[in-house]
Amino acid sequence: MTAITHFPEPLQERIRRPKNRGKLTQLDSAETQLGLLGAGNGEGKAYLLVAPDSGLVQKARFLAYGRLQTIAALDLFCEAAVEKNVLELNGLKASELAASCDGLEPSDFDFLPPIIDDLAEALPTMTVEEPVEDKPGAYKRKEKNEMNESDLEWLPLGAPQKIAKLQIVIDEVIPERTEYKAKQVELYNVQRDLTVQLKFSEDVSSSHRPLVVGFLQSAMRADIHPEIIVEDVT
Amino acid sequence: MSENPSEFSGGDYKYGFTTAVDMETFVKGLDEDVIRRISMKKGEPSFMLDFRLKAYEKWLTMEEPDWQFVSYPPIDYQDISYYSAPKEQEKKESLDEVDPEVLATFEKLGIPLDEQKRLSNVAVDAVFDSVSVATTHKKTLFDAGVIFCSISEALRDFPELVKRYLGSVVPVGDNYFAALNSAVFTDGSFVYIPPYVECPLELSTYFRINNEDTGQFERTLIVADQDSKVSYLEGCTAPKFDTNQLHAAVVELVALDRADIKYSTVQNWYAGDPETGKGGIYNFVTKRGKCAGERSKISWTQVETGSAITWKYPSCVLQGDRSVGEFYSVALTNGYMQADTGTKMIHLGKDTKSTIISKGISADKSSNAYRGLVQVGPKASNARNYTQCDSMLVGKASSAHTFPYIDTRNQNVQLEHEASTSKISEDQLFYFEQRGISREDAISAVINGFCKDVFKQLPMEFAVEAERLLSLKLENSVG
Repeated sequence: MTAITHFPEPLQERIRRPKNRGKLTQLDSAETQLGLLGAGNGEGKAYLLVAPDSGLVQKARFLAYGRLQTIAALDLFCEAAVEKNVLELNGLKASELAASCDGLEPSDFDFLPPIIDDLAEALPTMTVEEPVEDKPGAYKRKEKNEMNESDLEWLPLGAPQKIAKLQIVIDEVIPERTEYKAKQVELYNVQRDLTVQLKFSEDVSSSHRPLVVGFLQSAMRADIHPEIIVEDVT
Repeated sequence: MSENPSEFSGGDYKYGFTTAVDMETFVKGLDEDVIRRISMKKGEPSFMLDFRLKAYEKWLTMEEPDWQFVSYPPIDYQDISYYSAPKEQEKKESLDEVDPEVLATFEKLGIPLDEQKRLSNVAVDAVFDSVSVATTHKKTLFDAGVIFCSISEALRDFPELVKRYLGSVVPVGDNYFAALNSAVFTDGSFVYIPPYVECPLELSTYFRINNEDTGQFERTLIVADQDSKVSYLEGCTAPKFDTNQLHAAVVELVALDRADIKYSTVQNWYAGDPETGKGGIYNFVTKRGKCAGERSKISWTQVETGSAITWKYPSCVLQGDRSVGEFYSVALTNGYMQADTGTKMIHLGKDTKSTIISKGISADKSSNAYRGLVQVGPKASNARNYTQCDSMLVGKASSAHTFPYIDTRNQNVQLEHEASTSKISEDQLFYFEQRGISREDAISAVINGFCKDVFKQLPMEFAVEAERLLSLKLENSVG
């Protein structure tokens, strides 16, 4: 493998910190964007998002897993592709792209023809895509410096420890304060650190369930964390 | 209220539940047709079917090894189902699409698959019986250029990359169980870290066997390109069954120039009934890393506390000059468990260095063997190895065995080996007890002191759980 120091400084920077790395994946439907999965030559893949009406590439990302120069070349291609009409991409010349970044050869852009072929093939049947996103509005745990004493004791615990502590409370409180056995109450889930979800077995009377939830909530608040909320999700 | 959460990780095996999900399972038995069906089911490229068939052909000519220091009744390989998956298990793009029962199983296990735990800075791939059910934190990883997905997905999206490295460290005919795995593996994890990237998250895979008649044959392939770094955690559980289940996995690691891979395992498969020895997992695993590039580094850390039988030697092939291999292991056996575990350090490049720290703890009627090989090739001048191999006996009926091998073909090397065997004695416990420390806490303190060199290599959360797991497993073992 070629050492990075063999490349000129700007190219080294592009290899170490490419700006367009990532993946775009397919969606079922959308009105404003069409997308296209790019092809690769065994050293990487390019992914393009294309607007259906204008045919303009709105976003381009790549993943590379070959020679170092492929990282730089794909990064450069993604940069050059944005705001271009897909038809214009046909006119993208490897030699011009190579010339724009000292140290790259036209042969480093061998991945271009398959991508452009794919574009041409897919144009009539393009499917809708959007970037992979982790769920928006996801719960964010407090930063450590915002945590109070109770938070510090509870929030950083791993899920196994949390489950174990909650289970201990259930095992103690249910037989002590109700006519039921601990195994009739299942610890189903812990959401957002502080929401404890329970499931009752069928033989727990539905009229008793809110009371049991109340017992458990006050015990967990006393023993574990004052903001715990217990929910029945049976 | 007791502070001791033994319900979760203690003596009574808490992970021993099954999950009622609709499964698609092949009928028992293995032949070429089964392999073709697995390959077809997974929609694999043709090179994979060739790979599988070549492995199967090789496997048919091989004999099951019998040199290891364990004994078990013959395994009927035709009495195992080689494919089991939750139905309609097309690759899930979002956790919302995963069968809620499967997610609930991982919830019970404390595996961070749900939304809130996405923020816990660990990216998780979970393998349920044969199939990967979800991979989290995709965007963060892809933005860094890191590919972390199930191996099925990698074969679909990055076939050329998988083809380049699959079988490059553990060839199809490497050993009996590796050949079987190569023929029938159904899923596992794939990781690629591009050059000059330090993986922004800890990567983690959780393996779960849910079906009584299914073998688990997962395959893990991790490639760290030059100047990259990754830490990978692996955990395993299974339900309680009276019968034995076979787990024959292969893990391959490839570290290119100056790359650094840290692979940590906390293995807590069901070990069988501690009173009768009935049931439990046969854990026959081939793990090997190749330090292909100069100054590359591979570090294995394992805490083995489960499985009826463990047969496992995470190894390093130190091919690149100045490459480094490390192996840190705690293997605990109790009840009727049998473990034959250790490592191989193969020095091929110049100035290579390896460290082996192995701690074996045997309790009850169990047997625990360390087996290690340090091999130095003729070109590996200035190779260095340090091996420390300690055994601790708890109780009167357990046994510990050590089989260290050193094979050097170069005189200009430095190899050191230290070994010890010790026992928790009543005197030691009395010393603690007369200072107001309970017997259980005393055992815990002695064991954790014994294992601290290994635990300090584990990521923090794993280390805490490993300590607790060990203490609880040894409850009532002394005396």
